[in-house]
Amino acid sequence: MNAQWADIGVRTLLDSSLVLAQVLILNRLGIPFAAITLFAGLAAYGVATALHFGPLLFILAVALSVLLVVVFTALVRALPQDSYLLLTLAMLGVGGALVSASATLGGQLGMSSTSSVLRAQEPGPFLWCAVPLFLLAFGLIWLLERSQFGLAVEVARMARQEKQAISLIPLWPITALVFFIASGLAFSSGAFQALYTGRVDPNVFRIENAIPLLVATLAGGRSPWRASAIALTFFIFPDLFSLLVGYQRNAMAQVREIIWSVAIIILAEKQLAGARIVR
Amino acid sequence: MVDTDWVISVHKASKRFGADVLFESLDLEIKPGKAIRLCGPNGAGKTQFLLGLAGLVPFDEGEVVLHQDGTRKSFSSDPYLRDRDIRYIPDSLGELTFRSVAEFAFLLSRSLRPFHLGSRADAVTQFFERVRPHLEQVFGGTLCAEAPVAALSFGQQRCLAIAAAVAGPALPPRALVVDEPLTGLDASGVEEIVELLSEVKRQGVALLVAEHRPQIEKLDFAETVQFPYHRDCTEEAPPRSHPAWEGGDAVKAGRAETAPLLALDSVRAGYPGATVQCDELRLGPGEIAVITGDNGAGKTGLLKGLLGLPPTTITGRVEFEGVAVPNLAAALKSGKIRYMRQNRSSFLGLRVADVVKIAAWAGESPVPLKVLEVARRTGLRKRVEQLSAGNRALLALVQALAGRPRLALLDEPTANVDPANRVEIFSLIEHARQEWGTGFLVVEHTRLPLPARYYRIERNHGYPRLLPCG
Repeated sequence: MNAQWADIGVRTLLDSSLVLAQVLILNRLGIPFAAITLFAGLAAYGVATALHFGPLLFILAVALSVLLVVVFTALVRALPQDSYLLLTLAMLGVGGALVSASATLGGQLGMSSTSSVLRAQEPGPFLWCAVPLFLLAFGLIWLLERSQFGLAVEVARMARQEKQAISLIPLWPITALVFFIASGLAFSSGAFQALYTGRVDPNVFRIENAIPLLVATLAGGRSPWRASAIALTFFIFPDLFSLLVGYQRNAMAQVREIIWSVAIIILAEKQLAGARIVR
Repeated sequence: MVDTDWVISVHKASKRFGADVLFESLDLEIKPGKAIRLCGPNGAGKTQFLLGLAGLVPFDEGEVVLHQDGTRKSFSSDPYLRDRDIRYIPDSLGELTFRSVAEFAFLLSRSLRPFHLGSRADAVTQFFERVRPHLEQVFGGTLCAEAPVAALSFGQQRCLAIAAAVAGPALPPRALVVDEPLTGLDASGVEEIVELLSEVKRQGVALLVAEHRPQIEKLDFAETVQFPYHRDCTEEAPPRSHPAWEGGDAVKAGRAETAPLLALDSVRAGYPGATVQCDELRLGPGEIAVITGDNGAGKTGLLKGLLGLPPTTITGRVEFEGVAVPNLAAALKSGKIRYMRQNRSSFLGLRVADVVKIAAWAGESPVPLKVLEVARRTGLRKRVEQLSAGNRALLALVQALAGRPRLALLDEPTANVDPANRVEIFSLIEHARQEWGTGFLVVEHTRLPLPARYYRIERNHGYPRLLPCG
């Protein structure tokens, strides 16, 4: 029973960390990045590659990932928001196609990512990685909410004229720094997930996998408490109920989708009704 | 103690937008305690020069240099030095006004330490408590630190912005660069800001001011820089005589029998807690009613309340074209009424021609020629973000009148506008009044050169009331 709870804890915390990383990029920085699973997937394949082909390829994978993050950061200023969003989704597709087409990376079947150091499916040691990772992500959002640095991040989202009124404070480096940290969190989460499950496959790049994270991110908003609570609830739901009720996890995930969809529709309708009353 | 042994010089500054040369090889010396006024029509390049001087957009050519103690430092190579020494206040503060008064002042005073991980609430509170007496003295009343700046009137926002900009930790800067500081201010607000700027100047701070209103002359400018197109604007020229203005009364007389466009009886409208009482107001087709009042009196709130725009409220009897309505929201939606907001930062990414087309969609007929002619003067192919503040005001009026509305509510239509464009604005209003019978409810601080009835918001028995005035 303890192992089952620990298993749920690891998976929930790693998924929630991914959501919080996306909260940083999407909700805090205002960058329309809807494919945090791209970074997680790249990290997962990086780990699997390292385990199969040695550290040299791993270093190459890390270098490529850093380059990708640099390119994504640079494009924030260069592209309009809709194009940027489209680019993130397109990159998911490209990532999935590349790994699916590569026989070296296991093609459609994916590849093993078991390690002798952190053994797959043994949740105990992974809790020691997942908890700090989640707390780190939470702490960063909390820090942004209450620090002067966080205020600078909010200023960085403003239009040009408003920023001119404030000064020449280095808003772009601040944006880049937060984007890099959030990317790091996403890569770490992906790497741990790969090690924990012991297998990676191209499905990690599927847009269907990105959507639940996006929903949790948007529902989470900018507050660290609300974002964390929603992310944890969102991801613990299928496991918890399959454990308690005995249904399959996938079936409970579908129940979760129904509940969340209905909740969102009700809340949206309430807000619309509220708006009508105000008018 | 303020350092007064320095000179900031601008060498051969040039700026072009495509084929348009805004300024070329402009040399200027900025000295401690001296004021320089930038003159010229809307779109002549005054704002671009101020932005270039503050390092916020690059000049195409030229540099800005600080001479001090026999040394020469180029601001181009040290943006942070420039940020400390030259403080810029734009003519519009947009999104910043959604922040609290304390945070707004904190940001505009350059007190933010962007890489500091300490509590922002503590930093903002400490800063605000330190500068509160100074700000309240300038503001002329008590400031609520937590209140959103957007709840203040436009004029009050300007007062706060200027006061905050000189209240920072690195007080004072060497030069204060202010774009249209008197925009949206009533007579007492103008006096306060001019006095504040004079005080700053006395402290040894150099002032660079782009402003159309003549009251700014009290600052005793050492130099006036005339921007291209070379129209003299050192005095606010009286509007050109316009034959149509003389026929205003005839229009009123000719339409006297028709039902009033707008009738207000015992109406109370405005932001919650700041509503204005209007006992009676009648506005017929082709008539103009002007609402005046101090900054913060509730003029804009009254207009928004009439239009039913949240979060304002309205009670009392409102009739539009003889029909009783809860507010004017339905008529606004149908295009019978148009509202020209004070904030002119909409459609920034669109071209002027597209904005005019959009504005005409609600109308049943094509864009009137007169409106099109005025829009053409601002440059149909230009993007709205490329227009000067004055030309944006002109475009906003064009938007308001493109659909030939029955009634137009104009919130300070001549703010940011140079004398030449003021003439255009009055001419367009007069044309709409005469030709289409459009009625106008206008919020302004000054009298219009058009036949109009004037109302003023006065405090009466403790609450604001709209009363007829001379």
